[in-house]
Order: sequence, then C-alpha cells, then structure tokens
Amino acid sequence: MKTFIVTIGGRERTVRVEDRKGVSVDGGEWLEVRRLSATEYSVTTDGHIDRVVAVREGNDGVRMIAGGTMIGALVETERSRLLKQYARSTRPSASKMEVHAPMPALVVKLEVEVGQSVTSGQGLVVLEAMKMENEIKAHFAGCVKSIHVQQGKAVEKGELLLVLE
Amino acid sequence: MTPIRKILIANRGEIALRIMRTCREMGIRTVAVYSEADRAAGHVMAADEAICIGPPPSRESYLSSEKIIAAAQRAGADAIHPGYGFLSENAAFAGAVAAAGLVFIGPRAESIAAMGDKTAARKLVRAAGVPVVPGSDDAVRSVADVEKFCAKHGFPVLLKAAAGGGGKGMRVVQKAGELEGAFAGAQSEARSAFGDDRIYIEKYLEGPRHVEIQILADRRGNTVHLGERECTIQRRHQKVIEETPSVIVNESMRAAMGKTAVMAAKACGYENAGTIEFLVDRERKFYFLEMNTRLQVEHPVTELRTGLDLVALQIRIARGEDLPLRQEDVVLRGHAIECRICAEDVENNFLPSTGRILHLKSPSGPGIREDRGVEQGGEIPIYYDSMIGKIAVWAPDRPAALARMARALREYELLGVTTNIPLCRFVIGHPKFAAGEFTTNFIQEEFFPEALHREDEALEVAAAAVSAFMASEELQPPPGSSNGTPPPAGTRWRMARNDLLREP
Repeated sequence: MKTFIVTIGGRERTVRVEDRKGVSVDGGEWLEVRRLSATEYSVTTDGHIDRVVAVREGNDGVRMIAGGTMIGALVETERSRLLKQYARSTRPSASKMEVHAPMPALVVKLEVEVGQSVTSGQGLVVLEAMKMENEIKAHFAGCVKSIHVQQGKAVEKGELLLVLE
Repeated sequence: MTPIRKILIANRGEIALRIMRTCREMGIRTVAVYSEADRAAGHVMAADEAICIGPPPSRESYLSSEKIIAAAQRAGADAIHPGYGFLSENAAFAGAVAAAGLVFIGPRAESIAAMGDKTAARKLVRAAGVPVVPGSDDAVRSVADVEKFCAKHGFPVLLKAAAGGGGKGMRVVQKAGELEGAFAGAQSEARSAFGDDRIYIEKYLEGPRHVEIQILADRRGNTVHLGERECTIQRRHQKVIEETPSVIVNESMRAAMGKTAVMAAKACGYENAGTIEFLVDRERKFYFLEMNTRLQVEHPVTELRTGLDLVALQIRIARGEDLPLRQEDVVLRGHAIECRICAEDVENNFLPSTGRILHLKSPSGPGIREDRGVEQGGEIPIYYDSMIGKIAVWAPDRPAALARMARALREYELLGVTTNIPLCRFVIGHPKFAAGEFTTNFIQEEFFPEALHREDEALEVAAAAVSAFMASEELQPPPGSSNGTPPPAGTRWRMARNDLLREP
C-alpha cells in the first residue's frame, strides 16, 4: 500500500492506493480507479462513475478536469515532503533577488543595466508573447547585480532574467 | 468573371482551416503557407499544397508580402485570401497581389487604405454623414499634443494606433501622470504589430457597448448588411464573447445602424465583406469607431443567424459575381453566441500560456460549431496570437443559446496549456450577462479569479483519487504494462482457432 498527501484548493487529503482494493480518500470507501487512455480515468463508487481527465504538471502537480471544472492538485509523499523542506532550508536566501520569466517569451527590451539602482515597481525587462507586451517590474528597491538575457532572444518559463541585490 | 481554381491562404490557425473548408466545398484547391514553427500545424495538413515561407517570427513569414506572393505564383494560385490579422488590412499587400495578376479576396487596396488610416477614415465617414466619437483629426506626434487634446476634452482618453485595430497599440489614460508611459507603450506596440507607430486620440466613452454591423458589397456597389454583432465582452480591448442579436438593438435601431453601415461602406467604394464597428452609449446613440476591411474572427455568429457562408460569398464577389441577395432577402433567425478560446491563464493575470496540447475533447451535439486550428498533440507557439479556436452555438432564443453555450463549455476539455474556458463559463453563467446588463468594463469589474473556485466534495475526492493513482503508477510501473501505448514491437496477432484455417 502507498500513501500520498494530495492538496486541492488548500485542503490536504490523505489518499491510500492499494493494488487489490483500489483508492481510498481520507479513510473513505474504496474507489476503483481505471486508466482509460493516456489522459482519461474513471473513478467508480457504488453505482456512480466519474470521468476525470488528468495530466502531470511539473514534478508533483496534476492538472485535471472533472465535471467540467478545472482542478489542480499537488501530490506528495511523506518522503518527498521532507526532501522539499530540506531543500528549502538550505537554498540561499539570494534566490529572492532573482527575477524569472513568468512565461515563455521574447525579450523585446532590457530597461536596466548592471549596477543601476532601481525603485520598487520600476520596469526591468519587457517581454513579448503572443503579440502582447508584458513589463516585468522590480518587487523591491535594489541594484541590478547581473543580467542573464539578451534583447531579441527567446526565454523559457522560469528562466533567470536578472539578479537584484 | 475571373475564374478562381486555386486559392493561397495567407494565414494560419483556425481561420486558415475555416477558409479551406469552404474552398473544398466549392471545389477550389488550397495552398497553405507556413513558418518553421508551424511545420506540423493543422492548416498545413488540411491544405492541398503547403509552402514554407520562413522563420517563426511573423515579420519574416506571415507578414512577408514578397514571400507570400512568390509562393502563390510558384503554386499557380489564382487568388489570395488573407484571413484576418497579419496582412489582411495591408493596402500595399492588396495592391501588390493585384499587380502580380492575382485576385485579392477582399476589398480594393484604395478602400483598405481609406479605412486603414483610422484618422483619415473618421474624416471620410463623417463627411458622408456618419456619427463619430470626438477625437483628434490627425495622428499626434508627441505627448505634448496629447496633453493639448486632454486639456480641451478632459480625461479619460484612449490612445489608438492610427494603422490598426484589435486592441494592439491601444491604451486608456485616466490621468495626466499616466500619459507618457502609455504613449510610449502604445507606440512600441503599434510599431511591432503594424510597422507604423502613429497614434491618435479619442475621447473615452464611459460604460459603452461595442456593436458592429456586417456588410457585404459586390463590384457594382450593391451593398447589404447582415445585422449586428454584440462584442461588448472584452478584455484589454480584445473581444472574448460575441453574440447576435444584441439585447440593446431593436428592429428600428438595427435598420438605422445597418443603413449607416452601408453609408460608411459606400463612402470608401467598398467591395467584399466588411464590418463597421460602433460604440453605443447609455442613451443607445451609436458612433462610428472603425471599419474592419476583412473577415472578422466572430463572423460565425452571423453565419449561424443568417444561414450564409461568408467565405463563399467573399470568393463569389472576388470572382466578379453580383451579390446573390438583396437586403429584403436577408433572414435573421434565432440567437448565436461565440466564445473565443485563448491560451491564457485567467487566474494568473491572463499571462499567455504556451506549450503542447496533451488532452483535447471538443463539445459536440445539437447547435454547436467549433473552429479550431490545432489538435491534441499540437503546439501553441509564442510567436502568434493566443487564440486556439472558437466555440459558437445557435438556438432559437437567447436563454436557450446561453444554456447551450454553458453546456458546450462544460464539455470542452483541454489540458497541457491553460485556457480562458473558466472565464467564458463565468461570463456565460453570470446573472448580469444573462440580463443583458453589461459594458466593455464587465470583465474588469465583475471577474476575479477566486470567483472560479467552487467546492464540490465528490469531484475533489475523485480528483484526489486520480492524482494519487497516477503517482502510484509512476512509482512502480506494472510489468509489461501499457499506459496506453501499443504492445511492444514483435508482438503479432495470431489466429485464435486453428480449425478456422482451411486448405485453399
């Protein structure tokens, strides 16, 4: 038997998965979960079948649609939780100073230079995706320590744009 | 009559496919053009022929007039359909197509130029007796010019690209302090979208509605209107939901708007399909906003209500036929609504979402039409518009159409990229929308991401069960298991019963 902690809408649920019995949420009745295709599942209880479509999102996320509603879940085990807590406690606090791309985009304009001091809310980089420009702003006052992208280049979601200090 | 046997579609996505569908029905061959980012795109597969026209950025592919005309000549096409966006409202392109001896499926270059320059268009239609919103007669050159206008007319004002539409290069300015940034932003966006950074100003009407009239005109100047489309539900000046009829337009207002739209079209010697956009104020007075000299994204609602195929009519007009119908032949039936399905994260400041579509199941059943350019497994690239497709529904009346759209959106399953489907469901289910009480600020005023969160214990339990089940499968893949993949190579079907084998 495997136990997972599934968080949906801020609420944690303990879910047990057992080969022969099925899946039980928060100690409730055993549900039969079947994979129908690469992305489709059925969940059967007594006399009722729900259709859920689901894909993985990142390392421990699942994005689903059930009953026409979009549902996002975080799936963890006790072990993955401990590992994450450990990683968090050892990560350098400087990461707060990093500015990342919120989406895949083209860098259309760099509005600051290394060494320049910026005020909170000041524009740093202008990104363009799908013909719309989005200005990435500083969340606090500081100084531009380094710039990691070039004008005219494409960036991936989460890519480091620049570091403030 | 100019025979048209093969059409090059100078566009991508759902509109390229939509045009190809009519071509196929008319027995006309199609040529797709595509950028390197669209090698496996739906419109490329659907066309009879496909020609690569360059790297992913639009400027080097879909906006390259020379490459597109060269492709048309290479393929031996008789005509080019520009779709919407890209080169569709570029007068120089329409002129170059004609100069190359090809038919441009749309208005003449002079009409596009007359309406494409938004300041010149305002002057032109005003002279023809069409009411316009107060604004600058010419493009403004500097922030100082804008300040001068605001000193006279007051805030808020709207900065708009003289060369464009569709919300690109458009900014609302509420107070003097915002002017400089807004002006620079509008200029930069206009330059990138249209290659022209001229900006003009309009007085910003508070709480307006956006209603447009579809017109059709043939070469001899016969012009009809096909009723209105209500396009008030917008976000950042981009339409999200359109419907026809509009709840604020009655028979006499429709006749007046239709007549005005026909006047505006005739003022520029218009030929082919076009749309006159109006702003309607609280007193239901309407003002000319601009003319879109092309097929609109939202044309399906008009097709559903009139029973006409606008693309087929565009092609027939382009080959020199007279309009097959007079104004009194236009029959408007029932109610149609369209939702634009866009790849954007409505819970995260509407950031564009890109990537691969991992799961897709479209709505179907009575009264539903879907136009989409990408399939499951397809990519949404960063280079182009965020619209994936459109869902349109028809029903005998508005309440039935709303119920049908709600049902369609509930059936629509798309995973892999984030879409605005939750926002569409929010608007369609909103009591104020149902009551017909809304302005262009509706989404801004009514929508907040938390409104999407509904608690449904049974669904959350099912979702939690599936999440854990997926994770447990990943921890320990069952031996020889499939996860939906075919049996390993080498496995062969065998005859189950040997006694079925007979000697020949």
